Amino acid sequence: MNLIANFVSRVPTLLGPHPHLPFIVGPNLNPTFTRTLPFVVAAFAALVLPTAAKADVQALVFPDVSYLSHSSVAPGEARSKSEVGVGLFASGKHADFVWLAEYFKSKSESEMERLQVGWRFGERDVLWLGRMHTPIGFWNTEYHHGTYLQTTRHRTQLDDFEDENSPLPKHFIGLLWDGSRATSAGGLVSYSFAWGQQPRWGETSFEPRDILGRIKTGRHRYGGTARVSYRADEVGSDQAGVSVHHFTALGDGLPVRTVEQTALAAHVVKTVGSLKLSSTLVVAKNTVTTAKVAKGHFFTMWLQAEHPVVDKVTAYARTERTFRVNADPLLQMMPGFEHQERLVGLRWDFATNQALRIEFIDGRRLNGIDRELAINWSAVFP
Amino acid sequence: MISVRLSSRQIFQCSPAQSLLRWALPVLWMLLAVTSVSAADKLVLVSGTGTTNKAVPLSEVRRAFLGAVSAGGRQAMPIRNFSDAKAHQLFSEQVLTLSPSEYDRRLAMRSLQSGLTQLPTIRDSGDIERVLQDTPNSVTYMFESDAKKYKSLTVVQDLAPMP
Repeated sequence: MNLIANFVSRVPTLLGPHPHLPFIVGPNLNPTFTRTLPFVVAAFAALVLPTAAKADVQALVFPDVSYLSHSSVAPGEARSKSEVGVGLFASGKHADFVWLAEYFKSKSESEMERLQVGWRFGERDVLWLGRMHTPIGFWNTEYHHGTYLQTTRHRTQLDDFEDENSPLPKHFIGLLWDGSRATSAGGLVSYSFAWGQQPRWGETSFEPRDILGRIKTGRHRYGGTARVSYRADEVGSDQAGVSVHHFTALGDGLPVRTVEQTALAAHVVKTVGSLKLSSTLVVAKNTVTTAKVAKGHFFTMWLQAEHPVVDKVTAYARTERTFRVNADPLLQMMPGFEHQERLVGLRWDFATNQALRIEFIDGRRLNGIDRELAINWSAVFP
Repeated sequence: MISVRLSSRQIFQCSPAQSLLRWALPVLWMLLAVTSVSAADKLVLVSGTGTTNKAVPLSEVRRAFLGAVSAGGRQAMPIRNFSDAKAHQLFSEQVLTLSPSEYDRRLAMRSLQSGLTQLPTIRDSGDIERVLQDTPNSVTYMFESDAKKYKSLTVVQDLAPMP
């Protein structure tokens, strides 16, 4: 992996400088980004064009527009605001190779969330290389950044992304072995083994490496994740599984030097009649090293229920609770982390591949209470 | 002038054979009507002529159209038929036991996870014959009454009656 990293880091110097693109602006802009980007685009085009020529390529667009109203805000922040985001997804296959890319753009974010190439071996196994989602729990790899695909607008605090105060890492760069085996009863056992560069520790949250090199984050350490899950119906949504994760995040030493985390997660999705229940339980042990070493652990559990009320309208509710917040050194460094969250909402699938949601969230942080009313439109095209 | 007066008793009095005929005819007519309606509105699985697709359990049809990976051997290539919204809705609800929206979400989630492209679709009824003939081992769904209009298609099996 180091050899590949060294090679990739040297190639841009051969390509020379290039003008900044309009959408690439930000306070932490890495100057090498403009040299790296053409290399990445060229490599990606080399993968895309052969598959596009054979028409074995697809693109999906996930627009997402929200109006948010908060009951309490920090000084200087608006009480209500709108959020507009769009996720772009493309994938294709050529012979035994498959590739996919997922890019997300909003007012505050512009990130290549996933960029991966896979080699299919056997009928059900793929070895992926690139930037991917960490296979811990099920939410992260079930919905990715497609807001329309999840019933709720809001992700759980546990399953949210790093920049939304999640205490677990959600992205890594490295290798992922994804596979499954069918059972004689029509079920499916799936497994994932991931290993690669993990996020760093920023000031108050984890920071994954930007694959385009736009944001300079310094050195990253490696870590791994393993997950096994079972579906009684291969093509159904019901499933149960466990995952384990271990990694070390480097800090800048001011004052955090490292954050070492070992997490164990169990998840279950079960449909009873028209009622769909899903839940995840996580136990995470954290060691934060500053001038001294602090150890602790926390438990988080969430439970979500969904039920259709009338044609095309689904009511849902979720409760999430984290225990031992004050005894865990990692959560003590995350003032934006919501250790208790309750959510209720309605989803109306009013047109093909389009949904409207109205959602109310009551969240409790270490430094206060946040209540949010969200009205959201999301879709997937085509 | 001759007038004929019949009492109500006389009108309804008749032989047992006449009585049976009187009741049997309307019942028979209704049975025929019901049978002919359901036969016209049956959802069927079709393939292009010359392919070797055979009837399989509905659970296998469901697995194929939800993107399951075949467990060895050849698998029929499912093609989603959007050219008839009613047939598509009936197929989603009766065979897949999902709403059309939920069906789309399931396939999009599969694409996001595996990178595999979505199932091919037919949006114009004028393309049905060409797509099924050009795609080896392909199958799609439509009403039986529509399937009869295409001489190059073969009905593989019944899927669901019209509710």
